[in-house]
This record gives sequence, structure tokens and C-alpha cells, in this order.
Amino acid sequence: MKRIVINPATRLEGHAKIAIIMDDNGEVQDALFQTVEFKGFESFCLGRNAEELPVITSRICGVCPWAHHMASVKATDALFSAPPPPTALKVRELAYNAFMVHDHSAVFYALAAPDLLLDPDTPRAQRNILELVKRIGRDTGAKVLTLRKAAADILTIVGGRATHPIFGCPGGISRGLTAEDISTIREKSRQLVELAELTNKVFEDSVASKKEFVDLFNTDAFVNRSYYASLVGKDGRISFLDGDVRVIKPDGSPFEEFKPESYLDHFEEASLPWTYMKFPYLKNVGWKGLREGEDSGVYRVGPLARFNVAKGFSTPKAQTKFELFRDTLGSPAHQTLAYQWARVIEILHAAERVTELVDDAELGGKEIRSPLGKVGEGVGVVEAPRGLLVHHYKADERGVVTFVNLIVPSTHNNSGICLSVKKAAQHLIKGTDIPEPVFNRVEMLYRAYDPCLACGTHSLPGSMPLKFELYDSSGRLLRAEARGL
Amino acid sequence: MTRKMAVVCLGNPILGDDAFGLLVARELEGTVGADILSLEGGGLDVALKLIPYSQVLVVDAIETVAGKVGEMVELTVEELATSKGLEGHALSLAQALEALQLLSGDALRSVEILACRIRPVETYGEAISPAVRAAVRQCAKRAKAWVLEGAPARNL
Repeated sequence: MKRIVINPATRLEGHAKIAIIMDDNGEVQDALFQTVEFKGFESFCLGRNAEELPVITSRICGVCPWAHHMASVKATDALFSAPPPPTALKVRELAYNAFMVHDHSAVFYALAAPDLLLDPDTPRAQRNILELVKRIGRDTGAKVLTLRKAAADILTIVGGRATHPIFGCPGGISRGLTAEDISTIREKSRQLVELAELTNKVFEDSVASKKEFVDLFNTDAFVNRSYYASLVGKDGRISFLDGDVRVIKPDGSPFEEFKPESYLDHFEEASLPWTYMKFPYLKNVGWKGLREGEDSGVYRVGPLARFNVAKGFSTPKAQTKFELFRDTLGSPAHQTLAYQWARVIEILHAAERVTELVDDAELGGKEIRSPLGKVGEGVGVVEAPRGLLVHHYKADERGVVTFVNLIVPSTHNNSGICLSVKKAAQHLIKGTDIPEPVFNRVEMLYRAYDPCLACGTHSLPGSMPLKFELYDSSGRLLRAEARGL
Repeated sequence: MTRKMAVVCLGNPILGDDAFGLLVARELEGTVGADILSLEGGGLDVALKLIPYSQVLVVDAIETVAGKVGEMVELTVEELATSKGLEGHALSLAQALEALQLLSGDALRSVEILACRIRPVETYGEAISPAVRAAVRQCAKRAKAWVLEGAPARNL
């Protein structure tokens, strides 16, 4: 087979590309998930007042801004030696769980559900939320949107804005909650649970209880036996905001556990010539290329990783669903499509957690911010909807930023995405005539991770362009599909 | 029925020319008898903000490789929607608007899009290119006329 070098510099309008390369026999030789990262965030932030970073970094993304905001706030807590008081921590956690409901539900209904709830042969032009709404009915569609709006309303009450909050600050939060705020949030929290239970029912009735879907999940080509990394709380349960980073081996046994601020001792990054995005790997295993298995340093993060690493949820309804998940798929679950199921169950946990926190006696407390102390260095790590998110800052004695390092979940998952796309393509694609449902199956593997590749740009068409290219063994482009004007 | 109009200005302030919509919002604020929404969020949440309105004008930047930077283009939702193609993170604005039309029925009477051509954004920053900055006032003028006359933006 001829060697094909895909020069990322040639991409113009695409932010990401899947290139499938065939060999002389018409079999898939390789599949490359090639991405472009926005450049210069670290240099853009240098010289800024560190207190600005939670507001600036939330604008990295238009869909998951709260994740960046919270990781940034935690990093500035540490940078300014200002551990927040209990009330601030409780309000932050309440808001963050409302955000998880908001974000995960959008991903499920907009991206996963069209794949899983519509017929596999539904043409791509109709495999979207519009067809889904037509299928489930306008009333149900409107109900889902109304219930989900409750999450946005909670975020607006707490954060000033649903999307780009002006909420967290070093040492605490900028505004406490009044009794009226808490009462309104309590009422809306019931709608979150209603949405979560509806969503779980939809998933279980339409997917998890159906043999054809469980078989699909278990298809070997859609399975990646990797390490997994996520935060875990002191009780070993899933934690979105606090705890240590735990890593498990592909067989589920413990590998290592560390404080978030020592992430650089455990994660390293490799570079490959055909994409701008780096490939983080476990330092203590080493980079062995894009391979799965125990001797490869590839690891995955996100909902599936959280389910594999932790021992469950602290909330009862989600814990019941967690046990059903494990009974169905085993532990650890390596089935990539199971990310979507884990996501749906996390909506329930997050909703339950909001209902617990809203009744916490400390939630309406007046102590909402600690005084700032000595300035130095801070690392903030959270579980974003898509996985582990790291913000690492240094500042001088005036609080002016001198160093920024971010590792976003989709970067952690870069190897996993590449492996999943390659395995799926090799299994599904035979020859150059690819039926559309087959093509969609490859995309489903990519969508399971819900990669967020700097989606903060709004420039029309208002979404991240993704190209698909199919090459023969001589490097001739056979087929290309793309979104964009 | 009272018609409620909104000019929805989209943008990201830390991605250079992508902030175009937000600059137009600033230019329009307090000058027209319609709600001016300045939004930095993603597709579905933008659509939800539009539920109270019967006529909407969306102002945004549009990436171009070969087109003239700073040039204004008018689009309908149908022209914006690219139903072929791959789906990535988040719902596209076009699909979100189509979903909104589906759910709103007759309540949403029109959605138009007024966009300024920009080069693809790949670097963080707050600098706006001169051609895009010059287009802000022109776009604001067209948006004001749309509010006053209630006419399609492409006719202005």
C-alpha cells in the first residue's frame, strides 16, 4: 500500500476530519481522526489578572461553559490560597449538577437519540432531532424542552446567566442564594428529576432492553479495552467536582490514584504528524502508539470511565440504574456506545443531587467567600460532562497570569476516538461502496464520546464542521462528505 | 395578535471576528423597539431563547475562505441548513431553528439571518479586523430598518 501523508496544513474549512485509507484489497488499512485545535489560549491569557480567568475560560465553549468556569474557579481557589467556605461549595455543586442535567440531556436528545431511537436505515438527512420530534410527537418534544429549560433557569438564578456564568470567583462565589431563590430552585429541581426519569425510561424501553442494541454495543469492533481515569469522591463514588484522580487497568484492577495537582506526574502527551491535537497517555505505562490493552498507555475519560472507575452513585435512583448497567454490560464496560447509556444515568444522579442540595441547611448561608491569601500556583480539576478537565495556572505576586495549561476531555480521549473510529471502519467498511447506514455506524462511535473540539465559535453554520474522506491505496480521494456552506 | 420581534446577535468575544454579532448588539442597544439578545451559547439554547418571539433576525459571522471579508449576506434557515453531512458536538443553529419552527407551529412567523463574512477563526484573541469592524454599523443600520419596517432583511 502506498503511504499517504495527510498534511493537516491543507485543511481549510474543516475543524475535524475522518480519513479512511483503503489497501490494495479494498480493506480499511487505517482510519485517522484528524482535528484542529484553536491556537494560542495560553498566550492570550498571559498578562491577565488571574481573577478574570473563570469568566474568560467559560467562553472557550458555548455548550459546556460551566465546566471550564468551575475548573478555572477551582484553579484560582488554589492559586490564591483561598479554600471556599461550605456555603460556596454547596452552591457551586448545586449549579454544577444542574449544568450536567442541561448538558447531558442536550447531547442525548440532539445526538444520541437520533442514532438509537430512529430506524438504522433512516437517511442521514433525516437522522436528527427534527425527525425525532416528528417520531415522538410535538407534545413530547415540547415537554422535554420545557423540562430541560428548568435546568437553564436554575443556572440563571445561581450564575447570573445560563450559558456564561458570572458566578464563581477565587475563594467562593459572587452572590449567595436568597430564600426565594432556593424555593424557586426546589420547585424546578422536581422538573429535572422528571426529565431524568423520562429520559431513562426512553433509553431503557428503546435501547437497553432490546437484544439487538445490547448485541450492537457488544460488537467487538465497537469495544476498546483501555485504561480509564476519573475523579472519585472519598467514598469511592462518582464525583463531578472533588476527590482524587483514580486510574484503573483494562481488567478493572486499580492502577494508580493521585491528587489532581500532581497530574503532570501521571499524564504525558504524544504528537503525531497528521493532526494538531495531542495524544495524552499514562506516563507510567508509556506511549506505545494507538493501541489498546494493558501495555498501552491509552486511557479514556468521560461517563463510561466514571462508571468503570467508581463504585457507583451516592443517590438512590441513579444507583439502581448503575447496577442495571453493570448487570447488562459487565464491569469494566469497554463498549464505546455505552457512553450514551452512562450519560443518561448521570442525568438522573445530577437531578437527584440538586434535590438533595436544595434542602441543605448551609445552602443559604451568608459566608460565601474566603479572603485571598498568598498568590502562587493552582490546579483545578473537574469531571466535565465529557470527562476529566484540567486547568493549571501560575501567577506573580500581583495575581497576573504567567502560565496556563489546559487539558480538555476530548484531548484525553483523542486516542480512544482514533481507535474506535479505526476499529469500526475496519469492521464495517469493505470496498469503496459504503451504504449510508454503515457510514453512520462509524460516526456513532465518534459521537459516543461527544468530542468538544473548541465549539466556542459561533460563525455560521453554527456547528463544528466535520469532513469524511475515503482514499484508495494510491491516495486518490474516492469520496468526501462535509457539512458547511 | 401582537407581534414580538427580536434581533438575536451571536458571537464569541475571545475568538476575534467571531465577536461580530456581539458588536452589532452593542451598536443597537437602546435604539430600536425590539428585544436585542446578545448570545454566546450553542444551538439548542439559542433556539429556546427565541420561543417568545414571532419574528426573529439572527445576526452572526459566517466563515469564508474565498469570499470578501466584511461583506454582508442574507440567509434563510433553509439556506443555512445543511442536512447532508456529519454531526459533531452540539446541535447546529440551523437544526435548532428548524426544531423551534416545528415546535412553535404558527407562532414563529419568520426567521432571517444576516451574516458578515469572516476568515475562519483558529486563534484566540480579541482583535477585530478592520473590514469586519466597518461592517458593524452597516449591519446595525439594516437591522434597525428591519425592525421599523418589519420587512425581510434581504429586501433592505
